[in-house]
Amino acid sequence: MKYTLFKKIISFGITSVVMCANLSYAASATTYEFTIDNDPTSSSGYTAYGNGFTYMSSSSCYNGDARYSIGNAAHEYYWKHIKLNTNVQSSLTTTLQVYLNHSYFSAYRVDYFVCMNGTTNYIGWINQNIAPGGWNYLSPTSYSYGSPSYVDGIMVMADGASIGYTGADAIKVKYNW
Amino acid sequence: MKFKHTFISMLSSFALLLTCAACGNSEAGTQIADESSTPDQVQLVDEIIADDVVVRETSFELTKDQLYYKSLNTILYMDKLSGTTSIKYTADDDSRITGSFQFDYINGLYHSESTVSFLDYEDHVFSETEIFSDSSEMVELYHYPETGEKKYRVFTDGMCPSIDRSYFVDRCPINPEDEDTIAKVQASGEVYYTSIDQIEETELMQTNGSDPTGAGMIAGSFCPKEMTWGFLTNFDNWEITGTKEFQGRHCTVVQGIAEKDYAEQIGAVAFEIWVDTKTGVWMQYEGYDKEGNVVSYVYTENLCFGDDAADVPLFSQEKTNGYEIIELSH
Repeated sequence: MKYTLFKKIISFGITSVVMCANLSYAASATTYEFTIDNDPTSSSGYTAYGNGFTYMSSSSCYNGDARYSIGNAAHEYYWKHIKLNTNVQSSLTTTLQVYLNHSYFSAYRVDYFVCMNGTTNYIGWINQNIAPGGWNYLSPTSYSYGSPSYVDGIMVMADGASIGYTGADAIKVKYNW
Repeated sequence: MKFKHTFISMLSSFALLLTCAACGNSEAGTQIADESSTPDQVQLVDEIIADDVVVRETSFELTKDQLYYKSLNTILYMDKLSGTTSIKYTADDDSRITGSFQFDYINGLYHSESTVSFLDYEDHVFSETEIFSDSSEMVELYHYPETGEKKYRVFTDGMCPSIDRSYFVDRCPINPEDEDTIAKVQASGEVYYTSIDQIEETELMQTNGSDPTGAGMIAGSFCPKEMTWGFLTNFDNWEITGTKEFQGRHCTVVQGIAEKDYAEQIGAVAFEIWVDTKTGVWMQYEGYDKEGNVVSYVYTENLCFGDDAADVPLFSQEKTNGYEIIELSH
């Protein structure tokens, strides 16, 4: 019986490509992928906007730093980068991954949005309190506009009820068209 | 996708971890514990395994691949759901979340209520939240009893969570021993899989974050994506140990140990999950510390699926009386 086997096994057992640069990308005919770390060095092309987010440094964070905000404050943080608006088509699918690896990041529902063509569109949410350390996926989201799109930024915002903090570290964005 | 360690080696690691804790000496991790020194640990495992699990001699109804896939993509398998839940996500949490929910995924109507309270003070409520969504507008009402503050915010248009089910494709692997189903699929010419390893990661995670309910805070049961990713990604860390009936549902019982990093994050070194076989919903989860204490949990009551689910209360503007709106800056 597997049940018995499982107990026996346990009894037996008991008794016995991190990217260093701020940004890199790989492009093909239909895919464009790049990583943005929220580290606004003069050469990175990155600009930050964080209403209520505070800078933090930690070796567990991507490139050693991140931003955080009190979880229930519904603060917003934007990743903005010139590369976000490169190769954007009138119809495309955006896939987002977010890097989470610090005990501060513990808000229960953190929403992510893509800001494009002057509108803000929901991507999905992550429970940062229990999200495994490292890259966390959000489901692909498709957009179709009559004219070529532009992506202004990626935004993160926590719910209004969480205890703890909302984290904003590196993101990885992929476009497919 | 799946890590290819042996289950026994992981259990050995667990044993070493326990041994280290017992000795209070990190150097002890390099030694194999002898049998006579670990009676408490054996007892721990007996306590973890539920007595009322039905163990089958034959193959189980869900394969590991199927269980993993369904747990990551529960929204593919539900049309309506209601119930209540009580959650303590991590051992370090000094708070508990309780809530109730009524969801109609077909018509895009969702309602939930949740309360975050501190465990140290029974009546010390941090926040009370009520969320309504009709998939074009989501209204969240927050009440903080300690300060008396009442606030609400509104997500409209593209900011409101919604799902288009036609966008998703059910890629749940077929049991490779299920020859009848495989023959039918082959005859139809459809693409099919028999293993998670055949599915690209982005496809496997296709619904991750797409839960449209707005009730992410209490989603540990009906959308257990983070803990699925954290606990179950390494197939060598867990086993399907049986089935059981719970709340009128046929459940698949999972028992296992946590990866070191995730064990540190959650504070649980071992776990047991009762997974609804049809939908992948976690009917119950318990995480255990080295002494076998329950340190994190997701409990549910009165989970009702399909036509048995309760109706979804609808939003009315009067609900916001006395609440101050939170203006979003974008």
